[in-house]
Amino acid sequence: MEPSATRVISPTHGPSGRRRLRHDNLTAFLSVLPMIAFILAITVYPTLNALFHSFTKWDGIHVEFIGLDNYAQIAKDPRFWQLLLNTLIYVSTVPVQILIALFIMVLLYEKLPGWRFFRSLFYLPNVLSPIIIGLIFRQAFMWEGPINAFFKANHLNWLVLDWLSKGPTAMGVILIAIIWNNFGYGVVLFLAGATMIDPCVFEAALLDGANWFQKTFRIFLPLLGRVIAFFSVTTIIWIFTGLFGLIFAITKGGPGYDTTTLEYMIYLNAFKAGGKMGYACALAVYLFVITFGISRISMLVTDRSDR
Amino acid sequence: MRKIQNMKRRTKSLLVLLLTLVAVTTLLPMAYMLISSFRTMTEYIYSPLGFPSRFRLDNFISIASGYPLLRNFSNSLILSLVSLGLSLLVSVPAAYAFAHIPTRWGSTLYVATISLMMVPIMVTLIPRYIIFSKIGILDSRLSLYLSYTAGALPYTVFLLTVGFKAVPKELVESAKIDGAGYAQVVFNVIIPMGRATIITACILNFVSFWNELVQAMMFTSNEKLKTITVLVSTMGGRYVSNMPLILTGLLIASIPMIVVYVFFQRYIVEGITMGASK
Repeated sequence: MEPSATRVISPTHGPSGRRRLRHDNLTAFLSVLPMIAFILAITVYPTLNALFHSFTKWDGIHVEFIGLDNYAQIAKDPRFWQLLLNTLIYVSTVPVQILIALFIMVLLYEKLPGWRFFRSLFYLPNVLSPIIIGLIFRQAFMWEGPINAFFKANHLNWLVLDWLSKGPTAMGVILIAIIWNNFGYGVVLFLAGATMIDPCVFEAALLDGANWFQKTFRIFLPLLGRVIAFFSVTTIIWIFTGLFGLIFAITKGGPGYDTTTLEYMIYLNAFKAGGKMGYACALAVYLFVITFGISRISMLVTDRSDR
Repeated sequence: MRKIQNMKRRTKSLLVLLLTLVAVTTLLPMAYMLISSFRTMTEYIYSPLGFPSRFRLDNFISIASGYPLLRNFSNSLILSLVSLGLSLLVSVPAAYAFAHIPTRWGSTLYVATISLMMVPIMVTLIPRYIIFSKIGILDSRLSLYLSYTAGALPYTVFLLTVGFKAVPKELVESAKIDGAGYAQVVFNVIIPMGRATIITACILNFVSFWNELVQAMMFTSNEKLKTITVLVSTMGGRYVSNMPLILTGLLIASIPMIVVYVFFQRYIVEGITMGASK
């Protein structure tokens, strides 16, 4: 602080050492200031605001403090557990996605002719808007849509169903849409991970006469552990927090609440069901805690496996 | 020996066949969208599967005359570009500070910032809606600029900090010794050297801004501000029975992203793998 103190602390650099540090501090602070302002005003404050309102009855205007009532009510509501179950069913596509992506990755890794084209193609659905993807799938599975027409034409009449009007089949359509939408992300990640594996490993394996199957499950699967874990975690979090567009387009959560996720329920409560915003905020806090928990656990697991 | 090679060739061609099958499955919905957009409603009702009897652009014409498509496209474009500019303006200096200005609090703030990626949009959506309506910016582009930028910041700052860290410290230091000020270091050293990362961040953000639905839907209700995704989300209701028309709308709406993807996929691939390697 005082000039004399500076001299004592950094005798070699003279007073400029301390001043430089203080100057650095100020420059850094001014550099991050706009970011801090943005984040505090538009992300952190609303998050705390949602937390606060989760303890209230709130329609956007009138606030009434009701303690933990929202949380208790949600936990007691069988529908809440159904929403979680629905989400878990969507999460069950993750192993399927991993298998498909792994399979394709192994093929592309061999640098088959046109592998670049295939890689691009498989990732393409990821850049399309979920609302567009969802509406294509909705349209395809409608009663008078092309899927049923295809089954009819091939005399598979038992498969001609009103897909979107029954819970299990509507969910099936969303499951297919999720896989179609996201597996290319796995292909790109796994391929990037595989190129970092030492090629010697494969030469050794080939000399030992490893076949395609062994190569996939004995070499790639273990060596790509980290990448596969990353893919799983980001995809699971996406399923918990990013399915709004697909569900909105395909089923609007229906029939009933058969395909609704926790995330979609927040939207329904806040903006559709007469503005139960306090309740929706409590749902949002549940969602936040769940996704935060998933990422924490995954961090612990990957940290441990690194050691 | 030959037998083994034959077998290998056979498995290989089988695998290629499977690969092609997955590729066809991936392409099918898009190809279907394209083919159906040239068909008429009557053709579709007669058979939802099939090719157009002749090449015609009727659907494209009715979409273009039934909707102010140009306005929707320009809304999406303005929204994406302004939010993109704003997020760069805010995150480039921050990432520069995190990467090259050593402070005692820097790394803590950095971790806190990127951990905000974990906040689901549904958590902040309701308070944002109320706050924006209280300060009177609901139903304006400003509300979306602010929330898109805030939403993009954690990942953008993360990408840019990683990218800027790859710029050699010596280069920054020697520029400073040569008397370069803050702006000169940022514009003459950091931005040119970190160009690839900046482009990557821009492309990823552009795609997510363009595709965003729930905030655009909630924060704006004015017809004049509708983005292309919001327009598409309402199409199903208006043309319940005219499927080829809806598919044409979907096709038109997906063209910009396909074009962006074709030209910039290198950056997209780089951006998403950067997340995994860190």
